[in-house]
Amino acid sequence: MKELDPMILLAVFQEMLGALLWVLLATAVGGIVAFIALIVRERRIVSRRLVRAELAGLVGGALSLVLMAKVSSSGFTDAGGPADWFLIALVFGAGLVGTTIIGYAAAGWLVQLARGATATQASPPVANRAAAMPPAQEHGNTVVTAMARRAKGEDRTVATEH
Amino acid sequence: MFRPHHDTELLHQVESRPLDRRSFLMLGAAGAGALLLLPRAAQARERLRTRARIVIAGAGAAGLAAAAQLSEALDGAQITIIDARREHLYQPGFTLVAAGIKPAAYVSSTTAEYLPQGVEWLEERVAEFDPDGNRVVTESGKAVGYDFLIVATGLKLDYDAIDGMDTRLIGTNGLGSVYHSPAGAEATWRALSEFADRGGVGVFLRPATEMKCAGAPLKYAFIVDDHLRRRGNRGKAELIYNANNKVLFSVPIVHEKVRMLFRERGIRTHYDRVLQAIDPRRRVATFSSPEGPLELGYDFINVIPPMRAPDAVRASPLRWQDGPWAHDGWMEVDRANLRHKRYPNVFGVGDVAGVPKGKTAASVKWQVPVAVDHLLASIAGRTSEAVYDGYTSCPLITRLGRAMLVEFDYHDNLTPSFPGVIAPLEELWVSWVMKTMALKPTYVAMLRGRA
Repeated sequence: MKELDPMILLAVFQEMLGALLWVLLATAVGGIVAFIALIVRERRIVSRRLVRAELAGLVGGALSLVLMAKVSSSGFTDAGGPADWFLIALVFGAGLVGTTIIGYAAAGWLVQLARGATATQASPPVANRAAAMPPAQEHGNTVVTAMARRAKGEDRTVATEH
Repeated sequence: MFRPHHDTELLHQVESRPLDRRSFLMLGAAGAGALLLLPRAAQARERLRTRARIVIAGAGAAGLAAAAQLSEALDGAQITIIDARREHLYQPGFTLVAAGIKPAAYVSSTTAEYLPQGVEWLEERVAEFDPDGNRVVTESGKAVGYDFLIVATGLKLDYDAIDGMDTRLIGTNGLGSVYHSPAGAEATWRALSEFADRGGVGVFLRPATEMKCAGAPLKYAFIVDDHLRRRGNRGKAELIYNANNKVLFSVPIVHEKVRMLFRERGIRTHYDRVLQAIDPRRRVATFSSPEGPLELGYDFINVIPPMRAPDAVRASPLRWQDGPWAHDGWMEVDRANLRHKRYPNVFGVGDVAGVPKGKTAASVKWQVPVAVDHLLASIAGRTSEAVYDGYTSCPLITRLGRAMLVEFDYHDNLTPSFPGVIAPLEELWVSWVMKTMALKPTYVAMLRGRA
């Protein structure tokens, strides 16, 4: 433990988690990419969804601590000094942030997929027109999106709150 | 505080850049690839071409780690590892097995799964070391010549030196012995669990020889104390620790800390008492003391046998000829580079090395790269500057869920890895987490030459 080398850390985590390491890394990277892509697509943060994701994040943080306690055959009640509280905060924080990002991205993309399906089903003529005139499709989708948003009560976005 | 308009601006900036989804994904993939490739490229060193014959005696932690590093560094060398045992033991985990935290399977794996490609494994025991003839002879009489020899045989648990000791009785009648084997550690847990239910006299000790992980006897006393407390039976028990000399731990500052903790936990301490004999049926242990032999009745005991170099090393010219390590036959190596003092093509690493301080997996982790670098330097005709300063570490469990991460060197200096974050003499959960979660993966990574 005398020094910390990134490759040694990678080797240690690989031995610790096996294939699960790659699943976890893929989930983390996938979650972050989906989150950023969603923001780029929606061009704003949806406050209600964020709050819900953060609430799920609290549960995720708590579950991380339970998992940590289980795999280390101990509990955070064993904390004896500042370094312990730091580790507890780190584990809870990682669970919270991870769950929030993945929860927000998953909920957002579900809405996006639902909108896509609604747009195709509800307005075949628009879609047909769109095939002929690409700029109109953009406009038509925006209208449908706005309607769907109103129907779901999601139009109180952070961007409109100030 | 969330500033939404800033985000909107940022998103507009992102949007205005020519970054479509495909290039975004490609950028991400390139970044991930660079992350994986860069350190590997930096780490890869040119392999040294040689036809040298290298023999490694012993396929424990030190032998396998050395094999991994040598096979990585050399091209064309003939590397032979000699060990009769097919089972590989993760010895730092024995305490956890005997504490009821892990099953016996946690510490047991196979030598074959760690053996690097291109290394020949001779499944025999070395019966004779002949450094003057540059060869070793196995039990079947096969002579194996070498240009370089790494001795990593480990040590011998000398239970026979305790009069009346019978290892078959471990786990019965309050007789425990954590070091014996995975099964022995598990049997010791059963004996401890019964004791924690009933209470009585618990006796702890350490031998008067050099020993592997000198913190383990202390850890186990703390663990027993904690199990008794958790079951509400601490008041029914008397715990006694008999130290072999005048200290509880060879590093003075650690000794003082443990002394204070033992006092706080009500563990009675005696000094200069060494286990000489045991009567497992009557549950009586006999200790030598400055006042003469003392008989001590017990309800639970953790027997730790004297430890010595294996017979083949003790009977060879490789042993120390005089000084503190001569009696038990430890190898006469230079403490700074693990090279034999009289046979420069021979190295001794791990438990068998006659050097002060730790016989631990942490010692192995820092000894092996130094010895290997000096061996490679000899092949390449250069000199090596690599130095081993005696670093070792001991996650000293002080109760279930907490440990002190004690790290030190030859000179009794504390050498904390995380100064200002993980205090070496503080009982911390984070140190326990390292012991239970990170230590075994680090150990296995070391065996594979990756850490």
